[in-house]
Amino acid sequence: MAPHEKIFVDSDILEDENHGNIECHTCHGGNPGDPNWKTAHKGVVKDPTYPDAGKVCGDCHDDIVKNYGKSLHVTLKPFKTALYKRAGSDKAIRKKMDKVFKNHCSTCHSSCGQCHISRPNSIDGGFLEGHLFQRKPPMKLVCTACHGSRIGKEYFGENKDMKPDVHYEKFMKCEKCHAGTEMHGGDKEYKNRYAVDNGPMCINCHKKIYDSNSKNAKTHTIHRDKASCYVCHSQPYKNCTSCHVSIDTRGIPCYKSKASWMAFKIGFNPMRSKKRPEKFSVLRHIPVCDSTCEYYTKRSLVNFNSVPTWKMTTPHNIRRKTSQNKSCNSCHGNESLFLLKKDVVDSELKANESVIVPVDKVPERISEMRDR
Amino acid sequence: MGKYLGIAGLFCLFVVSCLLLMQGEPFGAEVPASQCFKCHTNARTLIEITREIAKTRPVIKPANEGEG
Repeated sequence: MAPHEKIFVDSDILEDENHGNIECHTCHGGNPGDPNWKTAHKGVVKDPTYPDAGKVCGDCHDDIVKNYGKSLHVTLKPFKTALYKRAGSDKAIRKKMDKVFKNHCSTCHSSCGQCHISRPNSIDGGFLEGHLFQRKPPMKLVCTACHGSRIGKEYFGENKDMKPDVHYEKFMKCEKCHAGTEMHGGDKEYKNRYAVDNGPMCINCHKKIYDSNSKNAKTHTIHRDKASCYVCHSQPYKNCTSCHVSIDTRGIPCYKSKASWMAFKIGFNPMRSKKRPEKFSVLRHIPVCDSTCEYYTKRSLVNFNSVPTWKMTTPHNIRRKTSQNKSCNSCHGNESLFLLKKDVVDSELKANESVIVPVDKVPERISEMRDR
Repeated sequence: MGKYLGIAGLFCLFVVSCLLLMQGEPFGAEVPASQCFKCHTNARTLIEITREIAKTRPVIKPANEGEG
């Protein structure tokens, strides 16, 4: 977007029966009568919905705003939780991690405004449709503008030799599965996105996969609670490693990470629960390594081994038919699909011991008769 | 006959005038008088201002390497 496009207001906003009567300065402050743009902008709040959306959205949207402070898009809590867990309980180190979080993680937050009015700040902002309020955030301008290098590329089939997600081919946008009730936070403080009560589950739409008269009911029933849907239905996805955060010579926070790679690895489900009881799930390597925060303190992630670096993932590149579900033995006995000890770098073996699949635990090949 | 047509014509003119007046305030009268709206809906002004800003405050990008 050109700089002027980012701040251009479409005069059609006056026709918005809900927001058209609100004057600019009511939300943004500043000096509306001042003809000098420099002094007119004194005290202007670019995004009045962050960090507290109550002041501007709360009057009308109080039912949504009440949980705003608990939305993971606002709190980014999982980043802090993971940092703290890897950093251990030492107060001095945790203080350094607070700095890491502030400089490198918290800049990626979102807010009411940065989904429904403009693009998020982390991707340089810019009004969506000239500040016209968007009930549903546009997928490519908002959602995958941030969640792009992994989710976006998977969903649109932009990774080399990979097909787009079947749901994208059916013209489904993010909000079809990720409804506002998931995005806007709930009564509880969720640990991560998988814990959110209103998060999407395949079964919510594919209700009949276990019905005896449905296609592939037998296969689905056999694998129920054994493998997550993604184990059979996702394609290879992007994995990242070795992200190092620092402050550059100009004082600007930055990161450096090694080249990503495509892989598909099945491991033991690290988040096994009543909601996700499957023994096996798909795992993705996340960018962290033991020296990720060493710019801030040499002794940073002292508890690095407490959390796997191969994390449960839900790739957005679902296909009905994949190379691993072509036949039973495309997966059974196929060690290359599983996260084995040899796939993990030595320095991360301990951190991942709970998710690595020992060779003798790889589901055995089954007889050719059954495979037919 | 002509007299009646004249009266009917005048009546119609009166009705149309009343309807026009009942439309409310003239079109565009609700446009806010604030400078915010005046500038931010004017692309030319915004181009000039953003160019001026770019001269004094160049965009500084972080020196990131690799995918975020």
